[in-house]
Amino acid sequence: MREVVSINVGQAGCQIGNACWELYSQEHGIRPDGFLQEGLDKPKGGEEGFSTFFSETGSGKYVPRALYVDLEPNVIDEVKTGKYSELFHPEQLISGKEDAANNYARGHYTIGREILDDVTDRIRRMTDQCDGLQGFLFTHSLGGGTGSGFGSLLLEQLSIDYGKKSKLEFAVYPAPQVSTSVVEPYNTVLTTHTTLEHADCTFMVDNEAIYDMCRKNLDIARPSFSSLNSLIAQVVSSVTASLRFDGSLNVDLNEFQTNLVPYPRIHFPLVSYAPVFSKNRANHESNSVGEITASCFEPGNQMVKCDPRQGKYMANCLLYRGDVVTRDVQNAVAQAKSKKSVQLVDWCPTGFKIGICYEPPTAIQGSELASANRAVCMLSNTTAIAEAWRRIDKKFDLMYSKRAFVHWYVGEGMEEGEFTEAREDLAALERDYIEVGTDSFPEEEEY
Amino acid sequence: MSDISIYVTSDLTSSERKVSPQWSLKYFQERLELITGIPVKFQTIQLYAISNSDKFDVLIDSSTPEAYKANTDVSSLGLKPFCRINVEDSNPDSDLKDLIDSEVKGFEMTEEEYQKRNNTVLKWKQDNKLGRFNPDAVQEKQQRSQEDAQAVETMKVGDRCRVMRIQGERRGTIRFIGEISQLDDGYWVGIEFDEPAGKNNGSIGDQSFFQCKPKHGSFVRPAKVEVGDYPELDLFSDDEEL
Repeated sequence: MREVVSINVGQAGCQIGNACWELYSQEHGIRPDGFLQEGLDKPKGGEEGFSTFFSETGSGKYVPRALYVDLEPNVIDEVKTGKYSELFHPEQLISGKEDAANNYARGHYTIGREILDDVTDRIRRMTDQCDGLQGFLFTHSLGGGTGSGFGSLLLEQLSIDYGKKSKLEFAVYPAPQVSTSVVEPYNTVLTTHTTLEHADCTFMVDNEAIYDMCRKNLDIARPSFSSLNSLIAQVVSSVTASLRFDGSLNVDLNEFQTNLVPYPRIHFPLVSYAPVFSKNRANHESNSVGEITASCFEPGNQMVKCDPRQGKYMANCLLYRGDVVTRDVQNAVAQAKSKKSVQLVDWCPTGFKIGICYEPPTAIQGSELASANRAVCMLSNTTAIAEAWRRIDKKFDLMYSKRAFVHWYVGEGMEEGEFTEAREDLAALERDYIEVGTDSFPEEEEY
Repeated sequence: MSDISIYVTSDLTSSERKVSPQWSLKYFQERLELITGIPVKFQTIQLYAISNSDKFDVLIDSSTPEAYKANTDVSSLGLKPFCRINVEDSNPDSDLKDLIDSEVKGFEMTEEEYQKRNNTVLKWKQDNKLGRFNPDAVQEKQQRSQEDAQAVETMKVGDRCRVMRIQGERRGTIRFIGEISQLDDGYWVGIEFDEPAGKNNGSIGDQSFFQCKPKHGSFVRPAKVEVGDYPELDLFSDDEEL
């Protein structure tokens, strides 16, 4: 078996985790209490795929290989009392008493340290039950105190405890326009610096991009977290589908890294997803393989706001699910490649990798997202995502030039030098992306 | 009473938060400080019962602290799910205003500092001989520049010529031979085409190297240019044969 353990950290991480497990359960035919849905004699998806994400207890009950961690009790309490409370064992839900108050230093040093041993113990108990652990799937925000501070602390610790096991992240990246808290740029820069060498592949999701998608494509006037998260869950599900379902093309966790990451630091692929439209519109939209593939190259379908037409692609994975035939996919990809706006880095080989999972996406009850018989998720490592780093670095500089709120961090025992060290590392990361995009061979022939 | 979700906004922030009706006002305000950066004593708190309307009530006015009852709790504020709490900064000397759009000179890493670092894409390309550090690519480039230098020997400004190896056959007159700082190193040939088959009017950016009608000028590598007796093509010559 090739188990994957999911770890959800902080408010955003746990809430996205909820939305994901709700969807996974439905996709595999598991009821909210962990038992099989009526009429099934085994979970959907095939033994091997299913068991990567769920374990089976003796009594015919299935339990997610997942851990929830938050420094404060609120969000975890909701899981404990919510619809899916019986799905999880209480040991999988860990909360502290005092929150990180939007402060990386509290999550990473003071409050977070206190809970670390307990968390690593429980992870150990979970991984001890695995025959062939593939690695970990992390969900957390980069801007919150627990997500950024404790998330990075735990990733560091997992590197020590589990060496080279894959660690993939889904990370909520701050929205470009408004911050959720005034110190969000600090948290983001600090956590990115700390995790840069520990995460193998990080899929970023920016709330504003999701928010716009909910408004424009799903006709939700003022999307709440739950609308945002159920859309994010659909995307996460597409990425993990190939791991969870036995199919013609089964992907291993480390293949994401192999296929997408040419150099360890450049591990932030842009995620796009199609189709995204509301139930009202569903009847008016056709949904061919060609169209959904083309949609992935539209900025409106991206999870992070940036402009790939201004960047170069290093690698590209298109993960299809549902009713898809290979010939259509080949045509659609050939068409995408021939676009003028799709520029590839030419000093290293760049491929378009294709994954097909024949299980169609599942629509969650009460979600505005229309069900579709096919969908595609594109993971592209493009230099355009460096825009996201430039944006957050600039906000960091604006605050740090005045040393605004630095005392909140120093007060938690963090050294001020960590700010400059982190900022330098991010500056180097920006440079790295420029270096990736330079030296084109052959040069332009005519000016 | 259970927690409620509300929106918290300020000039700099906007977020969805959970609040507990049992919290004391003091604790609530301390939390708002950590979110918005506005110190408790300067917080003026407005309640928008409908989050996206512009009608609001002032719940706490920092200018009238006597109205502020620290011993009451959040339930007394009458917050409803998904209402909006907006926090205004009443401090006229607040630093926060500068954080909105002021321009500061950001952190900059010089080329040298970047080169000194280990674990960079640059180092990796150097170590693995990728891109411009690839000897084959460098050799190829040298070969091309030799070809260009040889080709330059055969041409002079004013010569008739044709360009064959880029897009079909285009004929014209050589107007410029030399290096162009805005483009890659080495020789470039400026050509005035007979037809509007070029990319510019003899200029690159602001700098003019020769003058011709728009879309009649282009710059290409010398090796792509053949000089000789290439008169202007008669566009209609083919038609006569029909």
